[in-house]
Amino acid sequence: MSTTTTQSSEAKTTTRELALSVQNLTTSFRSDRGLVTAVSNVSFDLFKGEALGLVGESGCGKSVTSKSLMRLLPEHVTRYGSDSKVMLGSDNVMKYSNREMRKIRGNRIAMIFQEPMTALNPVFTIGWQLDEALRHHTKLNRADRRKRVVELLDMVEIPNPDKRYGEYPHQLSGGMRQRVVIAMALACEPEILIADEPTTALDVTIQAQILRLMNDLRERTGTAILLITHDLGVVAQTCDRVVVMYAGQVVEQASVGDLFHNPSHPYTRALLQSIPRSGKKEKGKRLATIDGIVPSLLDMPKACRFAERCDCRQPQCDVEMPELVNFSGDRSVRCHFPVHK
Amino acid sequence: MTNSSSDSRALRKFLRHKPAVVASFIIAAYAVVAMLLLFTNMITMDDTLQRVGPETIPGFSSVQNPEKRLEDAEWLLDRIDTLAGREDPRAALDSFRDLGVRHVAEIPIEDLQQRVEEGWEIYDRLAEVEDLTAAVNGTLNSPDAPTGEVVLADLQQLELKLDELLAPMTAKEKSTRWFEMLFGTDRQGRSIFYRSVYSIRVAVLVGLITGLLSVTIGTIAGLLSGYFGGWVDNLITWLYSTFASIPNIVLLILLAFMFDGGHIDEPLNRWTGGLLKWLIGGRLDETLIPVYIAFTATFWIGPCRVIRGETLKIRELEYVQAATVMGFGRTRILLRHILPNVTYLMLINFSLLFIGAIKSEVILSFLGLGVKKGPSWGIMISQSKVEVINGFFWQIGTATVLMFFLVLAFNVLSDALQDVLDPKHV
Amino acid sequence: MSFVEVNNLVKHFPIRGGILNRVIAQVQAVSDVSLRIEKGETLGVIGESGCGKSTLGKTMIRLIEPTSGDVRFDGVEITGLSHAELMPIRQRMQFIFQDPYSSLNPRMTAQQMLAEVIRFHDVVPAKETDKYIEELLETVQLRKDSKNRYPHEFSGGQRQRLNIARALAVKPDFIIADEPVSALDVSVQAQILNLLMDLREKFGLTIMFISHDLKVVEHFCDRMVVMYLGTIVERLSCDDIYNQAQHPYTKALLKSNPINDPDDRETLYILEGEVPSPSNPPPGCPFVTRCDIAEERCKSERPPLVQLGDEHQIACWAVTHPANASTSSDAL
Repeated sequence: MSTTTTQSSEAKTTTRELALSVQNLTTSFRSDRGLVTAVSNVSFDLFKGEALGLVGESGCGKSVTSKSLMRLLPEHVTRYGSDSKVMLGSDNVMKYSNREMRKIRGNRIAMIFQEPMTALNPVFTIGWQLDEALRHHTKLNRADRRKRVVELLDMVEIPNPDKRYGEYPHQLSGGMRQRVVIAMALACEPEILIADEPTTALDVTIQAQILRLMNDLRERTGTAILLITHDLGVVAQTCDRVVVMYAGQVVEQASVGDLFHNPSHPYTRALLQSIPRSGKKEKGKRLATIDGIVPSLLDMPKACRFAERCDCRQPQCDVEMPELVNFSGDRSVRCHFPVHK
Repeated sequence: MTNSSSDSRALRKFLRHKPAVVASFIIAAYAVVAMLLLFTNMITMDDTLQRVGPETIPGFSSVQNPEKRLEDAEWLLDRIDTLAGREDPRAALDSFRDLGVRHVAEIPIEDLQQRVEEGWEIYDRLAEVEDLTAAVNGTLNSPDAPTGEVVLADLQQLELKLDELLAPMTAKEKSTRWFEMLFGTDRQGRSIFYRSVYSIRVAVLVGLITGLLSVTIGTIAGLLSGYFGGWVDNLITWLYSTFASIPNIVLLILLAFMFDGGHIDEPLNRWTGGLLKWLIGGRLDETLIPVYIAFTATFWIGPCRVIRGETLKIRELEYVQAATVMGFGRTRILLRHILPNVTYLMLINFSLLFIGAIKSEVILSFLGLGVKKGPSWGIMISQSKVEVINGFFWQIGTATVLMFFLVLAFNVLSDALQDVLDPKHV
Repeated sequence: MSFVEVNNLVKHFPIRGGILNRVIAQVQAVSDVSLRIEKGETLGVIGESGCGKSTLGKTMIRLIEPTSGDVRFDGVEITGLSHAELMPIRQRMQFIFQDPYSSLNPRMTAQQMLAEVIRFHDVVPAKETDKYIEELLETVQLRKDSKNRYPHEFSGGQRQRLNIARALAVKPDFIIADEPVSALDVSVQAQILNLLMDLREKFGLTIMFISHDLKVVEHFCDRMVVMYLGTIVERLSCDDIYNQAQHPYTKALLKSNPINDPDDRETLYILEGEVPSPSNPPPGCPFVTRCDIAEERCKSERPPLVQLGDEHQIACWAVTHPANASTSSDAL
């Protein structure tokens, strides 16, 4: 029982080396109704050692974005934009062959998913599965691998790591399993960790543990984290900068403090307002909501995609698609009439 | 979004699957033929039993070897000769049916016998040659052997003579004859074309009735055992485990044997006051009852297992729990909420069972236990055993090809159905 | 006498094992839970996974049969009734399920589903069914023409509205809502919560709101009970839970919730350890394995619920230890 001592966002702006740069990522799927574009012109940078939050509601394209980075989408139906680039160092990952992708997956970029239940193979012990990752990507011998696995289990704060080596996934609780998954992801000391809703399936008390763990690990190993979630609270607790997505596009980018205290895009602001607030209750008060629903992927407006739900809608919004404009330091917004500038 | 039931969306998805559409047309074609066979007299049973020509004639009027031609000529000469020598030659010749639609020529008996004599002359000449094929090929080492050209010319002449013995065909007769001889004849001179097409009737009947019965019984059993659990589940599971432990073929043979000769279904029919025969008889062919029963008893297991599994899954879903909370009785839940969600499985299973039935019929008929009356693909394949040894593949080939396309079409269809109807892909 | 009473409800699930499939252990999902809900009140039931809150709700509505204990609805004891006798009660007590994706029959349109329910209970005369369905759809803010749509044509939020419409169709007095907004996006959650608030006012509903999300429960409910490993550890009013909560678990829950203030990261409280298995709970207080103020007594003796304040009860030795003499452990 301890309190977490993560540093606040300000202290992290010292050295900024680029870990990953996503430029103009567009991902479309071939379906029997034609080409459906799930992600349009998404660009953002991920710096070494930072935690970047990718936030949005279901259907906004955040999962598709993360899977595109790892090229995990089904090949024969996925089409990427011609100028889509994902720069890992000086290489464009989009141009990698399957073989090259396999070399970097788990090795330079690792990914963890939402369901710890299905991320682990139920018929192998967790020790074996961690060992597999090392076998695949490193040249360590058996004894060294075993040592490393125990080290990893210890790093993710699993008690009795020696004993746990031989246990099966079903013998562990959800929180424990997610720790194992994190250990697997970090086994080869990747530069980047993509975490797709890693705590959504966990209880709130366990979630707090896992988030603290991820923060600690990030400080120790310098791995950059791309944290994908729909939970703004999680973002507030862990991230340095935030990218907000809506209907397949990036609508706002800012440091976490700026985003929460002075949101720029009407959608971000509305989202923050619709969360019930802790503290003294105002009985019977209705929550602020956003009217309407997300437009269907098959029927996207040609202009601003949020216009029909926006409470500061103007005629220009229905005519012209706003560009993502960088208006100060780290802040960008895609809006003709941003709330804060 | 347009108002679309999941059915119409499934249909559209299906139509985009080209092989499946082709398969459906093929199946429809077979179905149409089966309907025609059942309800019109396009091809009758007699057509399949009647001789239309000499034995084992190849289809598509392919050329036969000289020995065979001589044999066939001898056969025909002999037949007509014998008939002409009867007490009432006119009557005897009129009753000649051994060549399908072809009749003996309406000429005076004396002329007929004259021609027969001439035919025999040529025949005797040819019969003296030791090895006709070698002669034709020019490899015969015999001093007084005639040359290949002479042999062939003789054969042709012989066949012309035979043709003169027969009445010329009308246009209609010509087209009928074309069909009769299209795939040749079997060892008893019967039209392979008629036999193999007529077998579609049996195949469709067996497939349809067995499929419907098995799926119905299997679904009911599966629903009951999956939903109610307890002793009902234990009973049904025990039943199908037991049945499934017996090798399919053994079970089929056993049941077919039991029901063979009407030991069981005859008394059963009597007890039910003729109900069984009325239901299944006539068009649906009561001689196939042993087959229907044997197959259904073997095949109900498949759908039962599958439907039971799905029912167990659906039973735990929240909309079924919601129905319980609403106070709906178990019957209503079973029929209104669970059954409609397993119909896609019933459809897929039906198409698979259809194929299983056709293939099993072949096996049973091979062993003499299946279809009793009339031809079926299994019987044709069984009878062609000897023919194949002698290099004659027309009967087995035709039966197999016709069966192959039907089975292939159903396989493609059931695969497409699985893709299209799987609710997870909605 | 309260509108809804739950007295010492227990639900154990047998675990079978061994060659003869004997019962080798029991999952103690709900252990001796008692509740009172007054008419028009909204009670929140909060807890994390495995605490038994869903089982509690389903047992109350007799979707699951209790092992012991009873449930009273409007004075009538419903746990002993046969299913036929239960019918009129079913109309007055309804349930909203959690998963919008599996709680609607994929092969029935909205119209068919609602009509079935309405006709079964004869809520309105047959001729008026269609009109009533349209009214219901409007009430839950769905378009009238959506009645011919199938569930897969609706979004998650819309499906949940349909769920609510189904529950409302029989004009119930009491609704148990099992995590009705947990599977929804934040903005949709807000819409549905507002809708539930409107409906609650309009129809004077009594609601039991089960959730794992403290913020939501605090916002929506009048009072709440906190469950841990099948028992209630604290009962309090939702007015000022931040300051009122006393039980270490409740406090941990409050402080584990990520707050939307990035400057406030230091206050995140990490509750170490894991929930013990419900088939093998600790003999004393269930929270003893993770509690930082546990005493010797807590390991062996289960603390009873003790009255702390007006609407406040707590089960914790450390809090109620000698200074507070125990009083009644039941009714609020």
